Amino acid sequence: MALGKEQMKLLYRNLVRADHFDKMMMNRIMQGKLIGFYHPGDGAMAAGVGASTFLGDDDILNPHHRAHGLGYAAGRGVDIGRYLAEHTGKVDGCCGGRSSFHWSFPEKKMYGASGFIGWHFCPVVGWGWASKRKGNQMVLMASGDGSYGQGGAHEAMLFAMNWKLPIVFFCENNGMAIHSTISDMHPMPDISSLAQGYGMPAVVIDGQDVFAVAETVMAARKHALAGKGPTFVEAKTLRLREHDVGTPDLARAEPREAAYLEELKKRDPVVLATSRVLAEKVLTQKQIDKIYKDAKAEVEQVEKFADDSPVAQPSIEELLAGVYVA
Amino acid sequence: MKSVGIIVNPAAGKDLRRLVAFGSTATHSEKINAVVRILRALAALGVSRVRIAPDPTNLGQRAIEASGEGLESMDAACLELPWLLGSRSDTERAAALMCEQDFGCILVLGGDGTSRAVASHCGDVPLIPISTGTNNAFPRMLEGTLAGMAAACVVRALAGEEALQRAPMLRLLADGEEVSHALVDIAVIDTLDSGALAVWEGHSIRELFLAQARPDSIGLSAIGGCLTPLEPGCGEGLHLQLGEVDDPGCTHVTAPMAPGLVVRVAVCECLRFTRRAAVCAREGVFAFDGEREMAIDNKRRWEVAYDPMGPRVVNVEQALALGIERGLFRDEILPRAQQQP
Repeated sequence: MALGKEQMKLLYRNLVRADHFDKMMMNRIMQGKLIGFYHPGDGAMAAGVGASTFLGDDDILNPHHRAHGLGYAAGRGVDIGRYLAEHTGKVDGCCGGRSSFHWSFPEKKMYGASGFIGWHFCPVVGWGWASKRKGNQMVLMASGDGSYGQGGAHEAMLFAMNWKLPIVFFCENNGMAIHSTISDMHPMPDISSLAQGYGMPAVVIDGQDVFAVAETVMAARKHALAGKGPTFVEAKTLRLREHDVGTPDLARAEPREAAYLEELKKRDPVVLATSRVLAEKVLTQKQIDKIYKDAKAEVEQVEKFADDSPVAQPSIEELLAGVYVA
Repeated sequence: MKSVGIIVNPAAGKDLRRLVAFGSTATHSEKINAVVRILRALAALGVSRVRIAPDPTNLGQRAIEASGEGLESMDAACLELPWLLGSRSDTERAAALMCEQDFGCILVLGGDGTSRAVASHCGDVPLIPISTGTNNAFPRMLEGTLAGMAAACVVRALAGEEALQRAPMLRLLADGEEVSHALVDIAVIDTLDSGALAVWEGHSIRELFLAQARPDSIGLSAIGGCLTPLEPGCGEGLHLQLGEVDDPGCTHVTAPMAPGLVVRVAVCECLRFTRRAAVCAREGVFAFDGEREMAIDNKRRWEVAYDPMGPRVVNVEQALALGIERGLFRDEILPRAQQQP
């Protein structure tokens, strides 16, 4: 179960890429080059990368909304050019430039997001049921601590456990829900304690450690594929910036202290992973420099692709064709 | 009277071994309850000042608030630390501060890893390690009330040196200089990364150095405990080299590596040592008290030193016995008054 050298290299590369993409999105929204808004993932990209990099091709992945799922997209092998084109309203976007934040990428079994946090819990039960019937497939359901205040979360855990569905409930707990702190929102700081109430195996891990996240999710996936039912993985992470660009960074009604945020940067997952791969001789500094250079080049390529793509101007017929009516 | 410190690791007892083994989960509410029981025992026995290490989940403050009536005579609060990072450094900084302020006793709630973090920064402050972790060779399963009563005996000077004992420990040396240490075991794991830290696969262990090996412990030290236990206070460590499980030249040992995970491992060589033992492996990762942490640099000369003068630990049974003997729990007036018709 322990990670091999090549797996560690891949995780590190994906983490650096995801971090570069997040910074790209930040730069672009500040320059007015994104439609919609952006929820920065600065300092919190390890959880998504670690959770998604070693999923199977058939596994269904519901990404967390932080950084608009960029960590998960990078780990999953999503075409980031099409992701950015989507966020810029271009025809080459993964949903034809119509969705921005609420993108989906069905080719990678990522079926969309919604502005309503916690919407996904009940569809996940359906995906879990389908995966169980199909076999050799599972669902990774990522969300934040705030979403576990939704009733649907509890219904989903109840059904998943009763039906022993192959679902990994993956919670990125950064202790903040917009301006609310976790102590305002939950009686217990570990969201995993909710899962224990349903008899679901639950673990708490360091969400800043991309290797620990990957190893844990691999174990949880194995558990799911063995027919043992759902598990709950709580990755403790942090939020270095405001909830979304344009909203003040408050905890309750008070601005978060700059000195405290500066201290938190010591827990930046890229910093931690870099020191690990060097200490454990997985990568040399020269190889790390190359990974950074490649990531920078990929960002330039992605931006060029999105910028060159024409602005989407769908006709009424095309728009209606995208509307599902039951 | 010296102060009592309480350090609780909010993350202990929640790691990957809930998935790959059958570890129970030490929930936050159970940890809070344990601290409440400690606080109530300390207050009942006249301890004047208690400080709880703060943590990002505010566990200490929750315990104080949940303690109800009876704490009025005791100054109970959370220690003040400038920043909390939700990592081991929070524990280490709290232990260092308690040492600096000359606390009389520290109760540590966590597993072997938590005790290790505290022991490396608490100096000579006596510890009462209470198990809320997964593999518990160093801390013991102790009821919070009794642990609190024992701590009261220590800080009220009713149980002194006679209730304290030095635990042995292991020091990892690179080219003769200490780089890390462990309270129970140092292992060489045949892997490249420290990943989710925990060690649970018997076949991945290449080498094992033990400061203690008890038949009633669980974790890596249980391999030594099930093969050739070390008597407490024997002044010796154990060095095991492990091989492939199908090697007929090895001694096969069945031992509890993790809760519900009894595995068979092959021991090629088993030696007791009193001072230093050389690390034979040239690659892999060192695990300290069951947590993978540091890769081997094959350019350096690695040794493990056995140190019989590790942290001071309270013998809870002995401390309580001394407290009873010296009258801490006895009220001479009340029983006589009750005897009157």
